[in-house]
Amino acid sequence: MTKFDNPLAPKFGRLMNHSAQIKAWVREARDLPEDTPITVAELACRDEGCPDIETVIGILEVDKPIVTLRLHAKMTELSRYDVLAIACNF
Amino acid sequence: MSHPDHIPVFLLSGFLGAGKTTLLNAFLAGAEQGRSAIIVNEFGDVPIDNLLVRQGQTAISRVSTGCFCCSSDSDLRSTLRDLVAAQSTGSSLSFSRVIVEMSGLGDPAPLVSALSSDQDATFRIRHNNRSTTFYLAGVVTLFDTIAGPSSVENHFEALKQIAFADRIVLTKAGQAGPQGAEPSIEQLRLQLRMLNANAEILDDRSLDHRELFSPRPYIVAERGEDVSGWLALEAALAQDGTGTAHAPATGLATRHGDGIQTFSIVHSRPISSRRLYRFIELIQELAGSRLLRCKGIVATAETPETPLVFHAVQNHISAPVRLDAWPDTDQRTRIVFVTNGIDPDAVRQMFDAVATNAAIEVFQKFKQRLARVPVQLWQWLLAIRRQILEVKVNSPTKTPVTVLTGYLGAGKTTLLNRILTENHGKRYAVIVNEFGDVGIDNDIVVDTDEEIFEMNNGCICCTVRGDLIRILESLMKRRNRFDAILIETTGLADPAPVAQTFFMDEDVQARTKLDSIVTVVDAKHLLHEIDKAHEAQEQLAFADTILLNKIDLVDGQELERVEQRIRGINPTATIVRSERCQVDLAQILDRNAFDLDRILEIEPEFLGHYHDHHHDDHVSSFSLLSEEPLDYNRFFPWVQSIAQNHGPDLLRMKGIIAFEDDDDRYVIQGVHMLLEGNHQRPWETDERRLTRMVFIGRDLPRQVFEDGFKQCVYSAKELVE
Repeated sequence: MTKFDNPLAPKFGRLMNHSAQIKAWVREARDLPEDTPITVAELACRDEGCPDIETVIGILEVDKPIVTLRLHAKMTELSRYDVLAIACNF
Repeated sequence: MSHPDHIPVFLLSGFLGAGKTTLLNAFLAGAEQGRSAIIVNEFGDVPIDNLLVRQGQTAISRVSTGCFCCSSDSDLRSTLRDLVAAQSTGSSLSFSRVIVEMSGLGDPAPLVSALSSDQDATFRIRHNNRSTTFYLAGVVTLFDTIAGPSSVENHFEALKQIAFADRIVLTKAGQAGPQGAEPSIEQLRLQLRMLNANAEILDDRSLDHRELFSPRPYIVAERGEDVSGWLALEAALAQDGTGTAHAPATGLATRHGDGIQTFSIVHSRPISSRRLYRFIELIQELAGSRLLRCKGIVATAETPETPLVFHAVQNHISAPVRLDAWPDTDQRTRIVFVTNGIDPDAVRQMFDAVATNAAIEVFQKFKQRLARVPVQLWQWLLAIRRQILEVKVNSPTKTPVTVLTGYLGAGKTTLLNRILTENHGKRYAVIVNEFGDVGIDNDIVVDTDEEIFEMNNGCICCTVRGDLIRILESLMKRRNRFDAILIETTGLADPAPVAQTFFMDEDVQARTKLDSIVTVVDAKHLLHEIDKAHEAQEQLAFADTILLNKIDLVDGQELERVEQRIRGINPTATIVRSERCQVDLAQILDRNAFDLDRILEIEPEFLGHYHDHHHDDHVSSFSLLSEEPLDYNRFFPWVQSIAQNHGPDLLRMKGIIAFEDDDDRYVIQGVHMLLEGNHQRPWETDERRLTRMVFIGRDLPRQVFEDGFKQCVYSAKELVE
């Protein structure tokens, strides 16, 4: 019988709701239409002194360079305020 | 016989499983005979609602498998014309009212718009110089007191059905929870009032069916601003022809959510009731609220001549009813599902496994071996099976993506055109980087320029293709137009960002799956190319399948040398030889080759037979083996540190791991820093528990990997400690 928690288990769906929520907040902050692609991912942060995981948001507006927003927290730890603050001010 | 020239039409709506058919049956049983024509509109590819409506001698039943709300009013008009014609020729009995039982997912707006006198759009049907006018005389919506609140919350169609009603009937109130349960009937009434202030709210326990379908004026203005707005929108859409004309021929309409679909199981052999109930129980448990509706007429093994009829809505199942006889000549089991984001194949597999003899056959096959298995292990095996099914059922249908790579001139476009022109029954959307030179004959071809999106300050492991994210977002809005996606990269493209695009974003992951990376290589020129071009080596390194093309241009010895060189770079890819890309496409497409778990099911010896080959290549591979089980407490930190420290150079990694104290094979794979691993299946009792890992990368420090790997061997634990 398996006795360990699998740290590499496929993550599909685990963060789906959080990802959708973050995208909605970014759209709200920057007044983006629904068809503007936004991508959200949790990445291992490689900077010294940073938390292990950061959330990286990409905004891919038509005919514009991709805008990258970085928040030094996991998706689950982000609040609407956090996302609005960075998305509005970038 | 005289026929009325003004006939009232009633719409009977209600979300899936609200009890429309039951109510219709009750009405027909008590109504004055010969007065009602019933039109049943079923959202499904196997119509069974008409079988479930009592087919009395005096009620006319008509069925459309199209969805009225999506297929314009022409379906309704032609059905009404048939009714009038049948009445006037005496082939059907006279009727003085029409009741349209809408599909559970039906949107009332188009029909109200077409029938309402407010809209000056009553239906007039002329037949034999006689005009019959049909007008809207009431909209009755059933509201399931158990599943209704969730349906309204999650499905816009359910909300619209409530808003359009002039009479709302609360159904299943007698089955609601104990007194004090939330929400109470009174609370539900209040909530419905907020959606529709003027409708009369009735209870099916004290219902006067005749009164329910008695003509009254249906006044749109009383239905609220939302309804007026929706009707105005409907009128505008109808005017510019975009409202309903886009409905697909299948009737699975675009008005419904992207994930909502219907499918059916038709089974010709009787099945036992016990197995049927087990199947329904499992599908309800696993699919949860995404099982919008399931209903069936079933030939049971006990008494196949008297079919069993059941209805299930989300987590609720009504008491199955046994009919006295089959309603028509078709005596096969037919079960129709309306689901949201569920893979039909998974449901069919589950039916085969649970409800049919497939499980018994499996049992017979392994009977002797399993007879020695203790009860706990039995339970555990069943739990594993259940987990597998759960994963399958819980995975919404994903669009498979095949990536075609290959160095310049290898034959990618030739292969692409073969895929697009050959009759294999699949429609592809194609994304190309090099549009123009050779024509590509396909409905959906999207040209794109590589747009590299570095999500993490230049880290190659976190680099994806921005252009693909943009295109996938747009393609996914047209999902009904294709079955799979092909991406043809440039001859110099790095496959890593393409592959990583499908793992970084949850939405992309939820809607697509990387089926395989296919690399086309030119047998004549490969050796020369990989000596001078790192790109050519990396395209080989990433491949799940390598199409070794133009083999007619080299002799046997050279071909052997080419294959050896490929094996040195990528020992795990499947090599398929071809001339001018003439190859059985089943070897290339729809193989789920990127999924190691899946490919091990098809090819159990995958990773089993290979030897390290040594060339002075920029990209190379090596393998690590252990006859002794590994310690998972050491393995996971080690493999994560390998990915973290060597990720940029670690192109691909695959492995099967045997852990101490673990009865299952564990499979792991990675692309740069992205790692995934899961249990695959129990080790067979006579199977050699060998751990095998293959690493493909750029100048990887093999000794460092090997030293770390050795520390993970369970027996090394004591030595280290």
